[in-house]
Formats: sequence, C-alpha cells, structure tokens
Amino acid sequence: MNRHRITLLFLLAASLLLSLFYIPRYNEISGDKEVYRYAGLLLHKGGVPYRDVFDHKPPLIFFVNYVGVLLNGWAQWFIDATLALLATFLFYRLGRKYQIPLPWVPPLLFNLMIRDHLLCLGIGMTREYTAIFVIFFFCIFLGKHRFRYFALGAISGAIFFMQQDQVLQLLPFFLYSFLPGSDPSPVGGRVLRTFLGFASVALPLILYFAWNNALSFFWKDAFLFNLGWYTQTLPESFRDHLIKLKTLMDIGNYEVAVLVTVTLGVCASLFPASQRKLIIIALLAVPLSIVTEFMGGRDQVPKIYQATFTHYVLPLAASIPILLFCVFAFTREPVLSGYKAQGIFSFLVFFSLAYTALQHGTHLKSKDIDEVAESPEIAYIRQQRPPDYQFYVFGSINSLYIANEVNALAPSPWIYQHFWRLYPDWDADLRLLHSIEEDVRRHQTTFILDLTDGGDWFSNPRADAEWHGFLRDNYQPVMENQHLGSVLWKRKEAR
Amino acid sequence: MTRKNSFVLFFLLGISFLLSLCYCPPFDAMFDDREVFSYGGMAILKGLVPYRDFFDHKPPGIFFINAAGQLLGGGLWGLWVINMVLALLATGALYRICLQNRLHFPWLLPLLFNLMVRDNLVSLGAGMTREYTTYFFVLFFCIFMGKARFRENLLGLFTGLIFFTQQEQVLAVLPFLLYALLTERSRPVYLRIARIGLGFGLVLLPILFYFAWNHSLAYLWEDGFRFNMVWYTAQPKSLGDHFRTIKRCLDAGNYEVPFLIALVLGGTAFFLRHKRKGLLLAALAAFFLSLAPEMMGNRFEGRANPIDSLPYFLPLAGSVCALLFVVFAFSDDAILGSRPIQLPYALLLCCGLAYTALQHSTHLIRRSEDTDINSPALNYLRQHRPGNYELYVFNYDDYIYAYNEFRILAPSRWIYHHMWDWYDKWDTDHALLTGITNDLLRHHTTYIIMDTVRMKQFLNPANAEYWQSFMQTYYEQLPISDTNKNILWKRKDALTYSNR
Repeated sequence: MNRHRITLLFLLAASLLLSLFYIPRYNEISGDKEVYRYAGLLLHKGGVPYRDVFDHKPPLIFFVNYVGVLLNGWAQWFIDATLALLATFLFYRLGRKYQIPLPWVPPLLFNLMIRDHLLCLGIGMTREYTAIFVIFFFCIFLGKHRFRYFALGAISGAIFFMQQDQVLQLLPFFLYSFLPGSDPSPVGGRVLRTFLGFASVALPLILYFAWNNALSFFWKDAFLFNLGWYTQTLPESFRDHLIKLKTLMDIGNYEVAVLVTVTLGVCASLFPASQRKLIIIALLAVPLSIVTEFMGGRDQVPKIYQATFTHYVLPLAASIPILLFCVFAFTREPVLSGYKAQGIFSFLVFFSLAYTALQHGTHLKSKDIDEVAESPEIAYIRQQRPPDYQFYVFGSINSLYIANEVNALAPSPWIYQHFWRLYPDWDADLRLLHSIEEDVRRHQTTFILDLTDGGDWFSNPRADAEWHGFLRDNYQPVMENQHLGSVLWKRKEAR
Repeated sequence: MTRKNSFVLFFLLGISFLLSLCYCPPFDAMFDDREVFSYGGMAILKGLVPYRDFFDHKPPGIFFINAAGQLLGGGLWGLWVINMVLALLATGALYRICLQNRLHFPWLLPLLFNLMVRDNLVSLGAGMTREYTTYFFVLFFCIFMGKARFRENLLGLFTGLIFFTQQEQVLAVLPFLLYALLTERSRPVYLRIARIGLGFGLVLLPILFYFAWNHSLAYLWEDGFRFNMVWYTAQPKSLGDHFRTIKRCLDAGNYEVPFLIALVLGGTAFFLRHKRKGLLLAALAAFFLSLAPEMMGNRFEGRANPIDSLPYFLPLAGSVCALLFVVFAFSDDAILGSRPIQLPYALLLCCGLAYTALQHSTHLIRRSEDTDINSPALNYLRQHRPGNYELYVFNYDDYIYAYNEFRILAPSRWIYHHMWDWYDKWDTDHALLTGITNDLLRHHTTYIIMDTVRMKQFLNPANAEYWQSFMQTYYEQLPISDTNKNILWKRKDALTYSNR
C-alpha cells in the first residue's frame, strides 16, 4: 500500500472516530434536533410538515430525520458519518489532484471543526449537513466532470432546502463559474444546467407539498416566516454581532483556526498566486457562511458574551478548510507553498481543535445522565407511554425529547412556542393560543408538561393569563421540577 | 536611527503610553493583591517593616515600589508613572535591539509586548508583581543582547530586581545567564560571575541591610521565602490539570495565538538552520520557565474550587517576545526568516490582542464605580472615619482597600486570611487567631469588616467557632446595609458609648 493510501485510511479512520463520539447514546439532546426528529416521526405517521407541525426550517432536514426514525436514530448517525467520510475522501482526493504538499490537512481540519462539540450541538443540525454539502460543492466546482454544473445546481438545491441562508456562501463560486472565459462552454448553457440541477431537488419537494395540499403552508412557514418575524427580533448593533462571533469562536476553540486561515488568505491574495481570484472568492465565502448571525437577534436580551446559538458558526467548518485549501493550492509565494511552512500553519490550526476533540472523546457524556432525559417527570411519562395526542409539551423544545422517545404526536401543530416569549406582538388576539387550547380539548390530551411557570415567560401578560387559566381550569399538577422550572399537568377528568 | 525609525519609535511609545493610560488610577480596577501591596507601601512610609508588622509572602521589592509611588505623590498617580515609564523603557529597548538585529518588522515585538502586558484579561490592572518582573525581564533581555560596558553587572542587577519582586520569575532569566556564562568568551568565567554577583548584590545588600537594621531578617526569610516553599506549594495538582488550566487561561486571556505561534516557531526553528541554536534553546527554556508559577501548586477559592490565576501568565509577555526575537533574528531558513512569511505571523500575533485592547479601552470602568468601594459599610466608615488600628478587615480581601483609602494601619499584622480557608493544618491550635484577637482588644479596635457567610470557608471548624465566639462576645453587626449582607461590626462597648 503506498503512502497516500495509508494517509487516506488514517484520515477516514479519524473521521469515523470523530463521528463515533456522537452515536445516539452520546448525541447531545438539543431542542432544535428534537423538533426535526418530531417532524421525522410525523412523516413516518403520514403527517405533512408545516401543515401538521410548525417549523420554519426548509423541509430536507425532516426527510433526513424521517429516515433516522425508521431505524431508531442509528440510521441518521449512519447517514451523517457516511456523508462526513465521503466529504473527507473527496476533499483529500482534490488535495492530491492539486498537489498540495500536505493534502490531508484541509479534510482533517474540516472533520475537527464539524465535530467540535463546543459548537455543533451534536450531530443532526441543519448547518452540519450544509457544511458537508458545501465541501461536495467545492470538490465538484474544482473538478471537470461532465455533469459538473448540474451537480453544482443539485447541491445548491440540497443546501437551500436544508438551510436557506447557507446558499449565500455559494454565490461567489457561482459568479466565478459564470464569468465569461472561466469555461469554454456558453454561459447560457452553464446557467441552464445549474438551474436543472437545482430543479432536480426543488421539483420533487414542490410536488410533494402540492400533492398534500400544503404548498401555502410550506411557503409561509419555511420562507415568509423567516423573512418576517425571524429577522425582526432583538435589535443588535453590528458591533454586537462581531463581539458575539468573537465570543463564539473563542468558546468553541475555532479562534486560532479561523484567525490563521483568514490571515493566510489575506496575505496569499497579496502574494503571487496561480488563481488569485479563487483565493479571494474563498475569502468572501467565509463571512457569507456565517451571515446568519447578522440576520437578527434570537434572544430577549443580547447575549453577546454567552455561548448561545453556537451552531451559527458551524458553517465555518467548510468555508475555513476551503480557504486553507485555496491558499495552499494556489499560492506561488515560494516560502508559503513549501511543506515546511504549510506544516507550521497546519499545526497552528489543528492544535486547539485536536485538544478539544481529545477532551470530548475522553469525557463523553451519556444521555443517561442528561438532566432533561432523566428528570422525574420525563421518567413518569416514559412509564405512562401516552399514545398520540395524549401528551403535549409547552414552553421548551428540549422536553420534546420524551414525545419522540414514546413516539407520541402532539395534539397541536405548535410543538414549540418561544414566539410567545420573544415577540410581544405575536398572536396579539390570542387566536393561535386558543387554537392550541381547542386542539388539546378536542383530543382530550391527558398530560401537559408546562415550562412557562413563573409569570415572566410570556411577553404578553394576556397570553400568560389565558394559558395558565386554561391549565388551572382543565388540569391539575402532578409533579413539579423546580430545577427545570417545569410542571406536569394531568387532565382533571382523566382521574 | 533613521527618520523613519524615529517615527516608528515615537508611534510605538505613543501606543505604549495610550495602553498605560487605560490603567491610570481613575480606571484601574480594584484588586485585592494590589491593595495589599499598596498597604505595604503605606506601612513602610509610616515606619513599619514588611513581614514583621504586616504579613505577606511576596518579596519586598513590590512594597518598596509602592512606597516609592506614594512618595512621588498624587495618590495612585505616582505608582502609575513608575509603571508607565518602565513600559516605555522596555518598549524603547526592545525596539532598539530589533533594529540592531535587522528584523523585517522591528515594530512587531515591542507592539506585541505592550499588547500582551496590557491585556486586561490577564493583567487584572496595572501594578501586579509579575508585571514589574516582565518589564525587568525585557530590560534584562535587551541588555543581554547588547554589548554595554557594564553588561554583566546590569544582568545581575535586573536578576536581583526580578528575584526580589517575584521570586520564581528569576527562573526565566537563568537560561540566559547560563548561556552568557557558558558560551561567551569576552572575559574569564569567574570574572563574569563576579560581575553578575556584584550587580545582584546591589539589590540584595540594601534589602538585607534594611531588614537587619530593623531586626527583621528572620521575618523576611520566614514570610517572604520559606512560606512559599512550605505552604504555598502544598496543594498538588496533576499534570493534566495544569495543562487544562494553561489552555483555559491562554484562551480566556487571548494569549492563545501568540503562545502557540511562539511555541511552534521556537520548536520548528530548533530543527531548521539557525545561527544561534544555543540561544534559541535558552529562549525556549525561558519561555517554559516563565510559566513556573502555574506549575508550583494549586490555589483555591474557598474549599474545593481551584483558581485559574490569569496573572500567572503575564510573564509570557516578555518570554514570548524574547523567543520570537531569537527565532526571527537568527533563523537562516526562509520559512522563518523571510519577510513574506513573517507578515502573516505579524498579523496573527497582534490582531487578537489588538481587539482585546480595543474592547478594553472602549469599555473602561471607573474605579469609583466599584461596588465594594461604594458599599454601605465603606460609606458609613467615610462618615465615621476610623484612625490607625480602629478598623480591621477579616477574611474579606477586597476591603483591604479601606486601609488605603483612610490611610490607616491595621491592628494586626495578619491583613488577609485565606490561609485559614486553604490549608487545614494552618493554625490548628488557633494561636494566630488568638494573637489577632489580643491585638484587637489591645488596640480597642472599633470596627471590623467581616462577612459571616465567608466564615464557612474556614477549613478548621474549631478556628471558625473560636472567631465567631470572639465576635459575638465583643462586637455587634451594624444594621446599615440595604441588603441582607451586613458586614460591618462595631465594638460593643463603643456602641453603648455612642448610644449614650
């Protein structure tokens, strides 16, 4: 076996090992992922996203989770690990093709960054998949395959329907591709093939929702909502956003990797280079990959010095290795293009991330000790195993975990409710809240796990009075968890 | 020096001054250690002798620096001027040797030094012992790299200054001293040792003489040195824990990038072509030895939480620059010595720290806004101003500030008490506590600042019980706080007298 095959084997083994840290037993419980899992469960039971469950993410993540639900979580892990392995392989092959002195560096950096437990919130987040797709995109972008433009379009579609804003980082690459002279084929043909590729993802999805009379739900929830409510939240200054990004990179140990790579990118764009435009494009893609941070605040108060929404910087796991690749592959500065200099910079970008992975790998935390998974009220529900519509969680998406575990659908499409907390104008006439109450009444839901106690959860006091009045009139408390701030209620007639 | 170089120097000194200005007295945050040093300076000026009349385990240099600062006048401004001048001197000296050795970016290391030494996340304000030793280290290194006539004497002098300001920091200069003794052939070895010894003696002898004159040599030895070896290193910490602490602190202080770059370049340069590998080895050794304080034991907050002590890492401001200087100045390999490769390093070294400095300078907090300084207890004392020995701060280090504000002496030499919190074998027969209570009774001390909650941190329950019983017998809490935290106690007979 030659040296390159051994390197590739080591690289794939490292990727697999890093994925193994997130097998279902050790995969962190995170509210967002529980929502996706729930949507997967709903699909499995014949429901339709947006129509039967509210979320504002595009639909692909629900279909991935649907596959996961089929095999109790392991299938999703398998998909995830395989995608990471494939991206690693393609990225390494690309490095070899472009004769980078150390072709294993960008793929290993990609793996270390995407599996950084301080930021990624476990496996299964939308931006993890889009980061992997971006690597595929880049490998195809630099390739010369016959269906190159079609594949670029298809991957763009996959990214767009997985996490909309992530498509922005592809724009510089597309601009480069469509520039006259960058390819001998006509520009119109290139655009058409790209469009066809995009349509190969978009059309089946549109047909699915049209078939299920859910196109308008799809449009309103997955797109309009994000442009309306989700970007009109807490005003944060540009400086606040910068500080927040700095905090996240610091907390997540991305700091050194990002600083070193961006600095190299800036310097390489000033030094002699064989493809200076590509280095500049890769540089542009870095801020675009984390543009989400600038699209509005998601908290009640700016938490610019705290580790919240850490996954917003996860797309750097693709854009940073891509930039490093471009620097190493295209610089013609004699000093920077040698393996010694690249080795030093590689060590710098790896050190903190490798340390983080080592710490995580040697301190894995099982779900058995998770405070949500093992709280008394969750244990109680686990014991009761309520059927569909007989259990409803209000006020925290983390606790949706138990609904997924007992495979119980919620009585209302509103499986998470933090809009009532974030936006004072949300549901001002309480129409949505009344619809939830109506659904709960209609299904005679037995248990409600409420995490809105304390009087200051709702930003609208009328909503607070309405919901807690409804609970007191129709339900009685079964158990209270002061630590999590939750109360488990049982329907009065259900006694 | 060319016109361009003069301009760069002027610019560097301007930055150094501006960074120092961020720590001028109105904006220099209160920190208990510095309040102890300040108290030491005041006590010396009032005729007291360190260690004999007040306890601390730092060497005496820092107390004399504080005394000098107070002699200069202007409250805390005198000390700030000393501090700022030392920073300017170190900056100028470092820039000079960078120019002499034709570094591609001679402004880089002086700038990096200033950004590191003024990193508010690590330094916790100006005036800590390791800040002074860092200046002394840089000046030592610049003299070491130069060819001054009294070079060895000056090296000895700065070694002495470092040793008597923060003992373990002398370890970082030892590799350079060894290098100077073993590799240089300018004079016979014994002569060089004698000259270094003479320089060291210029610091040592006046100090010894001062303490001998005041019959306090034994106190100096016991508190300034032996205490550190017996008690202060008594809490072992695993190598893994040390490593994690170092990682956390470097991360928290934004030192991570300069540390990593210096380490990687230093290590790499050793295996590449380099003109002065012996010197590189010495600089690498100094780099690691400057981390000595972290490796010397554990410090606790309360009973079990180990403290990540960020100021322990401040000496890296000097050792990182020294190591990078040796790498950049004498590397023969293009991947370290060429201008294009040094450009990304220059950007990387400075950008994180420049961001920290920018954040700090645009978010300065006034010292007067400190919650302890504005506490109801201190406001009460401002209205009922205590004299010498009339106030005692017990196990509440932040309030040592009160002695300095009122310019008063404490009734006991034990001005801080965390040894009772840290070491279960400390004062087991409560002889020291008895000494304190006797002092309080002897001086009829009127006020005591003490938080009963903090008494739970005492490791020996008998000691806590003894102290609480003393307080219940002789003192009463004054109900002056608008919170539940009444920390000011008044002597019972004084209370009765004033009520009458």
